[in-house]
Amino acid sequence: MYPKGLQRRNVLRMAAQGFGAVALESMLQRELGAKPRSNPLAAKAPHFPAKAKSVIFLFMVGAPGQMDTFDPKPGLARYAGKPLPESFGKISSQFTSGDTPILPSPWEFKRYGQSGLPVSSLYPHLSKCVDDICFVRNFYTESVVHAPAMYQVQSGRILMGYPSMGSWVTYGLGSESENLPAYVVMPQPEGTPEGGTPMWSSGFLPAIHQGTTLRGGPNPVLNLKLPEGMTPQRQRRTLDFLQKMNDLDTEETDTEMAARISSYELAFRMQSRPRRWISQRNPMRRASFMGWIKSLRKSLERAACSHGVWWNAGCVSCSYSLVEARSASSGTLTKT
Amino acid sequence: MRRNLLLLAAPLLIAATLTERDAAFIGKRRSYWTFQKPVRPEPPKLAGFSNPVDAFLVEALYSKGLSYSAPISKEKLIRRVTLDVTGLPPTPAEVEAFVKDKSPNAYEKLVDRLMASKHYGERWGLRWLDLVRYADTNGFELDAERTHAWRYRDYVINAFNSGKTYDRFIQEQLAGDEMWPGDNDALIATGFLRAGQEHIVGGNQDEEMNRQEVLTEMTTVTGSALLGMTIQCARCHNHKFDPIPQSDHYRLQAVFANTVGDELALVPKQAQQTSLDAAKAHDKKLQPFKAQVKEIDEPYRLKLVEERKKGIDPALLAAFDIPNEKRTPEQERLAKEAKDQMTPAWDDVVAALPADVKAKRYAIRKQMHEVDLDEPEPFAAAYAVANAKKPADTHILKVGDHKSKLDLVPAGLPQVIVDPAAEFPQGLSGRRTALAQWLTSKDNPVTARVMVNRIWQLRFGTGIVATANDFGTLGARPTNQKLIDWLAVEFMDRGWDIRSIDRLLLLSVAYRQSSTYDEAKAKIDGDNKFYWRANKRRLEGEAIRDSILAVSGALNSKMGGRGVKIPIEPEIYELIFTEGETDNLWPLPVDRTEINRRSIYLLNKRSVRLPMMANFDQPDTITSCAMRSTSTHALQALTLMNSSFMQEQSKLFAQRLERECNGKQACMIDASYRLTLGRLPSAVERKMVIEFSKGEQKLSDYCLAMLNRNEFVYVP
Repeated sequence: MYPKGLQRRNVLRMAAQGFGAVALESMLQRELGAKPRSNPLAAKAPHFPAKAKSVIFLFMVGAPGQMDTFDPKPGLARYAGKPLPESFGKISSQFTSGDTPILPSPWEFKRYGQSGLPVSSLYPHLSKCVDDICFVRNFYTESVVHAPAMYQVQSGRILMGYPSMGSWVTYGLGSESENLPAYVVMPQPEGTPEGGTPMWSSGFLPAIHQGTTLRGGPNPVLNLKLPEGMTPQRQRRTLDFLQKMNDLDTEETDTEMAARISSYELAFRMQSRPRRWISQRNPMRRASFMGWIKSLRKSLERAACSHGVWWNAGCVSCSYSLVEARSASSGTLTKT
Repeated sequence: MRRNLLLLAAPLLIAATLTERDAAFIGKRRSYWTFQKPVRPEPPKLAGFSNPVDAFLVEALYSKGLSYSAPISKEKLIRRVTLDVTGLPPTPAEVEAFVKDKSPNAYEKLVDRLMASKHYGERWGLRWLDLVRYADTNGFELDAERTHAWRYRDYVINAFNSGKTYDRFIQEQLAGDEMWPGDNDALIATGFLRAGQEHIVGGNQDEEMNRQEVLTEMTTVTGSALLGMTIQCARCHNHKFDPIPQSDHYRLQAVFANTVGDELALVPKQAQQTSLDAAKAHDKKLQPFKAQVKEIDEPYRLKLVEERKKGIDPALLAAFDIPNEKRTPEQERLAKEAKDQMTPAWDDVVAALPADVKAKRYAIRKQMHEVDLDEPEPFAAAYAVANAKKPADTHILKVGDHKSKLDLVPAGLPQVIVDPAAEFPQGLSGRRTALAQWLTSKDNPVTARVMVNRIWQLRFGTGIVATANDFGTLGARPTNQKLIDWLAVEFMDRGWDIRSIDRLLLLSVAYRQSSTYDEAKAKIDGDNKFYWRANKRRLEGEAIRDSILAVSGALNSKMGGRGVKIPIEPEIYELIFTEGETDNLWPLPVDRTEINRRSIYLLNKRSVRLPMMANFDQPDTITSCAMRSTSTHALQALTLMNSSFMQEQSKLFAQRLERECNGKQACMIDASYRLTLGRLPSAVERKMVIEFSKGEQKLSDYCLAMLNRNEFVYVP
């Protein structure tokens, strides 16, 4: 199965002398053209030439509405103070009767840049770089209730149980990273938005494609921290012992078992150096929101470059779908 | 009267024109194998294989130049069959007794003992609950607990344990209320129709949309779990691949058009009243605490109201100041708006409290939660269905949108199998009964095949039809159609006796093969479609947790009852959504041995998945899960190495070894192997363990490693 010299047993022997060897195994295998069957997240070629290197997706609950930001609705001014014309039909709303008078946007819109796209006076600085931004203005929702609308943004349906964007991306493209979770979700410091975990679920795709929640504080990934009283040395010895025993009762050809052995090495590497890949993630403590985005990008580059895989292939690496919860429905996609 | 008659006749008239179009759509696809009634094939006569299951398999294997693998060792066999049938590892004593039993029917006795165990139903129950996407909560943001849903879970477990036949099992779940009125069990069984998610949340709702989703859930689960057909694909259009016209989706949906969810009391009025009185009395005990908290909050709340009033539009305030009875409707609206704007939320009030006051407030609430632990059980009720008092029409919906109604359709069965001209009840009651009777009739081509395939999949890891919920054209073809047909007919002839077919499979030679790899055979059949060896299977999250508890000695094997909350990580607690106070969202049971119950009894909350389960591919309870996927990733390792559950269990396991062996190393090594893997260590392993135990390692580190072993989490 494996090229000579790359048999799992040999690799494990190397692993006993230091971690990283298993990652080396799969990288070498890839270079030698062998199919890493054991890694369902192996990077796959995209169907179309890639233009972006990475995607940061910010989902911002409670942000201002589109009619106050990037999508002027002059029609509202015509009906200011009046109820909605009957021809429009009855609108449904969860907490109002739907017959309140119309309030036009209090903000002034102007066109900016070569594209001439409108931005409201809420964003005096953003208006200077509209040509770097692609505005998508055709988002809509089929539910006026928060959670279903959130599911629709993430998965296209107002129901729970459909794969979220990040899940589809890792399913379709895999991940270039060898030692980081492929799809990462960062909830806002205040907690999870209404939709909860179904927002980043893998639905009917295999569980490996579900988003991994990265949290603030010393324990960004659940159970990443060493248990109380455990030392890294002691755990390394326990792990080595476990891996040797696993190796004993695992057939050479059993890729599933081999994957299981590798997963322990990855887990150990993740917990050995979490700081490398966990960005400063509390925007409240940062000088500006854009500053925070910049730092996020930097930490993505650093995380990837430190292991030399992130930028190499030059294909779409949106295997990081960073979800920062802020806005339910404005549907603004920021190209970074 | 005349109008009513016309209304009744209209759907039938439309149906006539519809069916022509549908018949053309179905066309020749009517002859696809799935829709043909299975005919019993004669089992091949092969010397040495008396079990027809083996005869069919071996015949197919020989034709490919393949043959069975050698039998698995007795030690591994008892481990395999015990894990398979009960979801728990065999005890060392059970292994020893079986290995020593040299009688020719030793294995048969073992299978019968295991099938008689109450764990048999728990194991099967998990499978069935996956199919019906059972959970204890509604789903969506509020995700409230369904107080009485667990009775359905217990019903399922008992059904498998008591040997309920499959026809009766289906009939009770679809139409228990109609077919056996007054039978509590049959009523509880209809929880099947309500097991899916339901959007229950406050405010103005699009009731019609919500109702449509409820009906879709009922239709979909009937299609997937009972028919093995992807009926749901025809919600928006004719099925893209199968001969299921869109009208079939709505004809099946119309079977449930009058079916509404209800909580139906299972005890007499008197007992209900006693229970309500007890609840009231309990509530009274909480009142003093609530009053104290309110007293603490009040001055801060009032202060906030005053501050907020300053920012409110004077016109609104003016309306607010007008006495209630003197307000015009418009003033009423403005006053309400003013009130909304000036009322602080509970968390605004709490945020305004000084630290010491806040601490005092939470101390009082803590006392209240302690008193609340004695909350009396509500009176028994069934989370079930009933027929509505008024009939409801069913329309075909354009792209599945309830606002775009197309033709009316009558209740009916899939046209590819049943002539649409055949009579089907259209009254308030009896529609579900008719569906259940059709499903369990011996003429039905799919029901028996779908179920024997599930039994097969549970025992062999993959189905004869690999896509157990999809027998359609995009699903897999059977790897051995004669075998599945023989099993289906045999199943019906044995009176739909699940246990009897199950036993037949467990006793087959095929089941007792080793799982060892064979390069030559793998070249012919790499995916082991023809079962030339047993499939190694990873245990589900539930079985891993249960096995760990069994090994550590902590397992509480009590059965049934309300879903149990077990300790969760603070990060998971944070995922619980609430608009209210956040300090008592996950009260743990007073009796702490409850947290060591088997996993099937743990509270299954749709929006808060337990990492130990979710990481090991527990389905999300949103769609019917026919077969769990097996993924392997680092989060599993982190959970099994670092979680406080594993830390605690490995310590308990270590204590058990010390206790049972008086701290003697050789004994502890043997005992640990027997408990976790059902065997003794090899010489090499023993040496490795002794080597490992030198230095600063603790016994619990060793125990943790054993509980993480590949061999421990895989069925051999």
